[in-house]
Amino acid sequence: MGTRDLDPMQTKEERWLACARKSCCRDTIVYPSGTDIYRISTTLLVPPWDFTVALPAPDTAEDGFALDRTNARYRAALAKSESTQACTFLIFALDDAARCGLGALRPGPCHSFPSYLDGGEVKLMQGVCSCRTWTVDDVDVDLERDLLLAQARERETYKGVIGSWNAFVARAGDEGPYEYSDYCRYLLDAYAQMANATV
Amino acid sequence: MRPCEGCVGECCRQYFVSLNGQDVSTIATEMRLAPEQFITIAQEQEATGVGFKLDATKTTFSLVLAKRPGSDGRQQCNFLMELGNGIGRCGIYPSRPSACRVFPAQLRHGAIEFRDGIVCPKGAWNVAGNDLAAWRSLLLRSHMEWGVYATVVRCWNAQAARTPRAEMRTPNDYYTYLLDRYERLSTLERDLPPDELQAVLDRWGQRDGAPAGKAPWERFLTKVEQAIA
Repeated sequence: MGTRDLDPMQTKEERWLACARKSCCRDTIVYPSGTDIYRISTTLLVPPWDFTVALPAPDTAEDGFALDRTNARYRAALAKSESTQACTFLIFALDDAARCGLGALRPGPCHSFPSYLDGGEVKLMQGVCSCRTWTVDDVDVDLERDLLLAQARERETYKGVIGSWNAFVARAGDEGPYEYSDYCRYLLDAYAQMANATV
Repeated sequence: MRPCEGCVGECCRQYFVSLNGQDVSTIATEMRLAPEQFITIAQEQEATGVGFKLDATKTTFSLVLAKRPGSDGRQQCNFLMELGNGIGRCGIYPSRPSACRVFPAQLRHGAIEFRDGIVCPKGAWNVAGNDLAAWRSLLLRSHMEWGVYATVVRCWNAQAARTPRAEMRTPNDYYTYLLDRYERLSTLERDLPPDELQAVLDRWGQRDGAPAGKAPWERFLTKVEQAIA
């Protein structure tokens, strides 16, 4: 924040917004769900491969997608800027205070960070933010739980889409290997069909 | 293809974006930034009617969205996000300034047209393929915001004109004034009945035979003056 406080910070959202360093956008790898990728891509009119990258994943990863018939698996992660090594969506004020350029569009893991569910209980990761140490008193526990449960449902849907893609790749024979952009197109099409089915 | 779909953000690099008080208030509030974190002030070469003073001289300044070097070394808007394949997107899209919201449209003799000679590819904008009602709304709103800002600036300048040279005001004084006055103004529009607000917007700047000071927009500006006094 600069020289002037605009009004008292109260909610987790406000605290996150006002954080100038945004170490979470630099030090962590963000794996968006298919829902996140579809939402960002269709709102910004930018194809997924221009803001995500395919990172290698363990071959047992349930959310790992294949690009060929080997056991190699990948996960889509938010891209980082070559110049800043921070999230590609991070923007900077004159004094280098960082803000998220996605705002309300940002992926689910960014929304809930640093909360997580431990046996149904909301907990907060420690030592991950340079701006503060989070406690459950800083968050609305019911809202966080709802957010995290919604994300868990999104991840299940995403696993289903990935499973279909992986089955397609396994059946593809000599047509592979596929590009990351092929996977992204499949993902967009799958989520567009789901969106149309729910209208 | 929609005009901005393959946009690389040349408008965010080649133009300087003038800000009004509403823009400053919106960005500061929504992005939790202090104005000095995203504004550059520029001395006006010609009086625009919305230039603010810092002392009793005739020198006026305007507010401009700050720029910084992008990955290619060129100056670009602070809020431009650089994505893959050279694609650029606005990082404060819901809170972007009035000038960006209406770009590249303008009202000419009451009709909407898209400006020629802009940085977008030739033919990118076509009145036939656009929601003209939405564009009209944006343009009318922009006219009103700049009209209100002219009043806010005039009140500030009247104070500045009485400031002794030794006590010259600073840009930060002006920003504090703006944030305070626009907070007061936020309730003014909210309390206006929708049909009255529409009349203000639709006929901004036009008297339509009404006596001086009696057109809806003039009555609105009188309320603005009272709110910020």
